Amino acid sequence: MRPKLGAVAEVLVRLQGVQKRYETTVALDGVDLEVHRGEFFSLLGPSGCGKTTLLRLLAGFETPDAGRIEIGGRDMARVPPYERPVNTVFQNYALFPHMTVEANVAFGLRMKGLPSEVIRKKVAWALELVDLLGLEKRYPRELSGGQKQRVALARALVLEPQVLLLDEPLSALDARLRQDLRVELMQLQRRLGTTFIFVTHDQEEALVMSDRIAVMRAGRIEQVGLPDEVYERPKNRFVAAFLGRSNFLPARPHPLGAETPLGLLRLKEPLGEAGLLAIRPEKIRLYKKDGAPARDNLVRAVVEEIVYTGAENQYYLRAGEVRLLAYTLNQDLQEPGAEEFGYGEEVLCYLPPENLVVVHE
Amino acid sequence: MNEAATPLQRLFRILVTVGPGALWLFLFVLLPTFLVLLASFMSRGPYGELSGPLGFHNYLRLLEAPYLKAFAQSLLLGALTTLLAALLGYPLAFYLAGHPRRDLLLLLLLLPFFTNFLIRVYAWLVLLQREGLVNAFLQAFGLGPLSLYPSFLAVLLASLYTFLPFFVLPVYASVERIDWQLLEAAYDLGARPFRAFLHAVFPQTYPGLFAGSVLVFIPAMGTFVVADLLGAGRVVLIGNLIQQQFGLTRDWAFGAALSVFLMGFVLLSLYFYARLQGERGLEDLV
Repeated sequence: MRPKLGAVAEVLVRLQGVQKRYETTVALDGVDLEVHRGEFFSLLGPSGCGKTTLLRLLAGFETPDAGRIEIGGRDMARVPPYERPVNTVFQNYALFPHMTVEANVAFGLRMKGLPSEVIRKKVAWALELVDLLGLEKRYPRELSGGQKQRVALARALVLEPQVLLLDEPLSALDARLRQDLRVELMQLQRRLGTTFIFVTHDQEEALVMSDRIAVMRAGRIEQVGLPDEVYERPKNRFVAAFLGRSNFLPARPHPLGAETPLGLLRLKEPLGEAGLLAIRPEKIRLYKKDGAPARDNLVRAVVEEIVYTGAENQYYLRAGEVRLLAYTLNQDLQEPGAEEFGYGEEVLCYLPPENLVVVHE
Repeated sequence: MNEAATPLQRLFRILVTVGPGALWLFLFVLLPTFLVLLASFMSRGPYGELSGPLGFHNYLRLLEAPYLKAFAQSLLLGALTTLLAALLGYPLAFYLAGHPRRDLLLLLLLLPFFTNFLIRVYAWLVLLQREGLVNAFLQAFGLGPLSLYPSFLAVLLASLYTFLPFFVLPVYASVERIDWQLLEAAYDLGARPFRAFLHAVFPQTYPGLFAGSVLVFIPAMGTFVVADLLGAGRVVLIGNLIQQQFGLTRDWAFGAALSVFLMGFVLLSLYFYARLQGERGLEDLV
């Protein structure tokens, strides 16, 4: 976890009951949200979940049909985009093609009517910030995707916005570059202390980069929390399935835990009513059929498929009628506890009670 | 096709691929231009035929007052037509591009071309003459009658009417391709609507503006039918002079010189215009 300076979180962006519909579809269906000053906040969800609409409402490109948007304590209802204390990094960069890198970055400062001496200094500062010194006179068409992205970043950051809005800024880049830019973005955000609101459909990106994540679906926010909270304690099936993968088991209350298709499973907290249990594949421990210590929550299963991904082995298991997915870290097999299993092998799965999470449908 | 080709085969391939186009260009562009250029240095024979001696005398004649005046009027007509076409056509192109029934509106824009050009010019005569519709309308309010015909204004109106679609269409094509996200980017960076449009949208329409101006300016400068009918002798353009030399006066040599001069002027102005737009143009003015 990232250390946070200052214990008291100041709310910088506040949304209350924000609604937005386009002709037939509801883009946002009553969103309440608070983003703190200095936070790296991610809006995560599949396409069409309303995350981009939310960002556009914050930027001022769209107006909400209902609800209230505050930035820095100020109601944004009548504030046009060119007067908002936010700037946007667009998904496809949206650089001005007829302007050089320098002119693109200087654009916002020119609109503010700053003296040219000040503009020159700030542009140099911003270009150094994103490591683009020396490319001032290039045109966007002469830049690589990653360089364009940096220009877009510099162009927005040079105005020192209270909130930087990023609309899937890494999605157009190739995988390797994306990884590098992730780290750079995080460092940049920490260095400047600017509040970032980051839209993405990539759960890994959100988990890696964010201080907090809001998971969205169909115009609603399903869960807001720290990355590990959202990952380890998903509130419902959607969140659990969208962030990483999960095994789901229908369960009914039992005096000792829960009654499931895998038999009786002990839980950390008692199950109040019939519901759904979720467990992450990497939380399931696998043992040879005669190698497991005697304990509860052991389930007999057969290996049906093995997927080798390099860092881990993914086992597709069948326990009676139930299919389970379990990951084991691909460690040195000399280490105690590290085992490898073959096709059709009978194994024992241990489902730790503390990792069996109760989720809603 | 990989095996080494003999020189003969290569020649054959070149002739088959580039040949037809080159032949066309030679027959219908290079050769006529050369002939006109040649004729412009010759003289008028006793029967109106081309004959010697060769010399620059036709070009020197261009400097005489009536010809300079015709040239000035052509330039004025071309420039005004282009300017007015831009003022009317630019917003119109945006309106068309944003309209849900733009297919229908584009058809309406092109509908006049379904009628003969001469008939359309005569229609303006009907509108503008002393007993015409415009004056009848004005008189209903106790105004006029104005002598709208024959006049430079009438020529200008008809020329604008004729060439406006040639401005609208290329601009429309540019507007259709506009990346509107750049407008949002400009807003986002603090540009108010006018400046956002100017910096983010206007530059994207340069190609359309350029093509539109060229397509209007060139024919408007060289027109003669409109001036003939609606200027009725009061408005003499270069086009009229050229027509006279090749027709009535039968001085082809001088007509050729006029043509070469007009062509040279248009090419030169195109060159400078292209350079202006190739650089950053209007971008730094605001």
